Amino acid sequence: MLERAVEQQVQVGQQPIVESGYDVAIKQFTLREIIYRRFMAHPLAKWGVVGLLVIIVACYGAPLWHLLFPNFIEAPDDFNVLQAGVGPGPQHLFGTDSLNGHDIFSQVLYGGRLSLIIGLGSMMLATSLGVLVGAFSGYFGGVADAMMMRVTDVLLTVPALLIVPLAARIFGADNPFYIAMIFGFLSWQSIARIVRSQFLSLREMQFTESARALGVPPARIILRHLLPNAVGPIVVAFTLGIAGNIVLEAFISFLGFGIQPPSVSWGSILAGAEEYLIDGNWWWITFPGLMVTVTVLCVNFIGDGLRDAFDPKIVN
Amino acid sequence: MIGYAARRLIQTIPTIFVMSIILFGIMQAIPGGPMAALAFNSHQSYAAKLAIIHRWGLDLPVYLQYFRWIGAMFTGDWQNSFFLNQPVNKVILARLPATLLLMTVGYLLTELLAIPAGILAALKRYSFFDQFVTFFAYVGNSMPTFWLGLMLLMVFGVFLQILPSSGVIDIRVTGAPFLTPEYNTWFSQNPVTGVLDVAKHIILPATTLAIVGVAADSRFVRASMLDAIHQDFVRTARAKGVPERTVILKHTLRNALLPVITNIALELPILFSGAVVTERIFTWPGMGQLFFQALEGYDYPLMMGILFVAGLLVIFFNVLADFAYAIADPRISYA
Repeated sequence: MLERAVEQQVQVGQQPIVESGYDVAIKQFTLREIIYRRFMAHPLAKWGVVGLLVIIVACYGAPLWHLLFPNFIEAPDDFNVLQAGVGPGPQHLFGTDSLNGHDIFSQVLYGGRLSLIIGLGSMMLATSLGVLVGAFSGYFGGVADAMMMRVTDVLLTVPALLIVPLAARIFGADNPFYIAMIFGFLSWQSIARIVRSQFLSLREMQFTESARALGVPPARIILRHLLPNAVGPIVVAFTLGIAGNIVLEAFISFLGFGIQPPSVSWGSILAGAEEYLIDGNWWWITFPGLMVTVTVLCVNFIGDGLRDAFDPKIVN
Repeated sequence: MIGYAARRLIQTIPTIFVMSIILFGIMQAIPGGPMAALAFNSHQSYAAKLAIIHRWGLDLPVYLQYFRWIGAMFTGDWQNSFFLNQPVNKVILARLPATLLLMTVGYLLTELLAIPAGILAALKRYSFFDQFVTFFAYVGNSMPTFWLGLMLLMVFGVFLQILPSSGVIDIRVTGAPFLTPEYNTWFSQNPVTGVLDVAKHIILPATTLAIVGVAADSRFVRASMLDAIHQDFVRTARAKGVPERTVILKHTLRNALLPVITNIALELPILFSGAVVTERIFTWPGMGQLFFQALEGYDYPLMMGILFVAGLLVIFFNVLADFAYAIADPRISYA
């Protein structure tokens, strides 16, 4: 329906704004265009998109950079013990670590591939689970809702930070797929709550009632009528969750319970750094952590922009 | 109100039980189970291992094991830690004060900075100060807590060497580890030195917690204050000539701080996670550090004990948040 409203011309006659005195035509925007415009109007969101795109290209293109600039970007399993603990300079932009002499700049680029995909993958799992539970709970209500929400509440009380290293140890830590799964299973509860509260109000609306009166099956009501209306808060929670799980991955791998040395992530680069802190090699800690911070900052900017863009209370 | 409090407390009982079942289930999934710590002991015969399995009841069905465990948890028989060789509940009780101390100080520091900063940012909206607070909040929200702690440790503990980088006390000053009987007698004799010693050690971990906390809370206070300042009753107060100072302090602030109070209480579990991370970085002798030690050594009884206590704490914090909400907002009736 919204598509049909595109480019509908509305005449405004009385007060000519254009100097020539002609009537001014006002273009009516589709919802998608409004959201896009609001998103771009957010002062920081578009810089978040630009920054994140740069980081994604830099990280996932790392093997290519290695081929193009073999002097600056090492291969992932390449290191030189003689160069261990060298500070930042023209040869090693971010210096090298004190343990094996890995070039930290190259490691940061390679490590980003796992860190980003774990953040994204875990939240895709969490969002699917959360939407499933929340939609079922919110639409059907009753006993199932009460039970599901109790379970969600209890799962929220289990201290995630303590469970994650434990779970990583159980499922075999060095597999990024399992790490993403564990994170996903621990972060769907808040999305389920958001979806449920959205559905609770949406299912009482008249368009839902008319769909039900027409005999539309519940699955179709949920998928075609309710879910598109709840997509804003879900997308925002999804984006902010990615930021949270990138940070969590960094911490778990830093502790040595997550991604293990042959594979690299932003957290695993930091894993050995703590013991060598006393040597004063600040670059080892600073740059990988800075990379996490900048990435999360970009994701948070995007999340904030999306929140403003989807917020029906803000009128432009 | 008392009826509500009683009902809310009774509600926690099933929550505690479900939490305990989840924890027990997760611990069951560890390969090797409680025997994992003994797996590589070559001095132990197979018969001796079987004897231990029988004595610990590991040959029983899982649901019986659960009931034995939960029964023991409530009767106070928490077993001995494998490595510390002391009763687990005593070990945890000895570590709990340090965690609570760190949380309290970090918390007070957070709110003392975040509330004034948020209010000022809202009053001088779009000013340089407001922009600075916003910038700080964005960056603080995006930094991993452990990395922030490491950076502070590196700058102040390693490079400048003006603050101690680990522990809660300086054993060269006190002569005994934190909260041992010897320490307590020493502390009662020199309270001033004792407090100063702890204060010096708590600066870095508490600042780490506070930076992360201020980043989140200052934004919340600012939004809440802006919300209140645009309400009709504020315009009415201004229109009838109430001085601006009174408008802000009496009319706006009270209404703005209402959601802040409940938000503060809701953040306690997050603060607890933050404390766990910070303890690990600054080797603060609290529960978080103890947990990571237990995890590295497969110390089964200790892990289960800590997880159980952590779950109880989070449930307790949630109850506190509900109480704070009930007390702070008199418009909601809980009859």
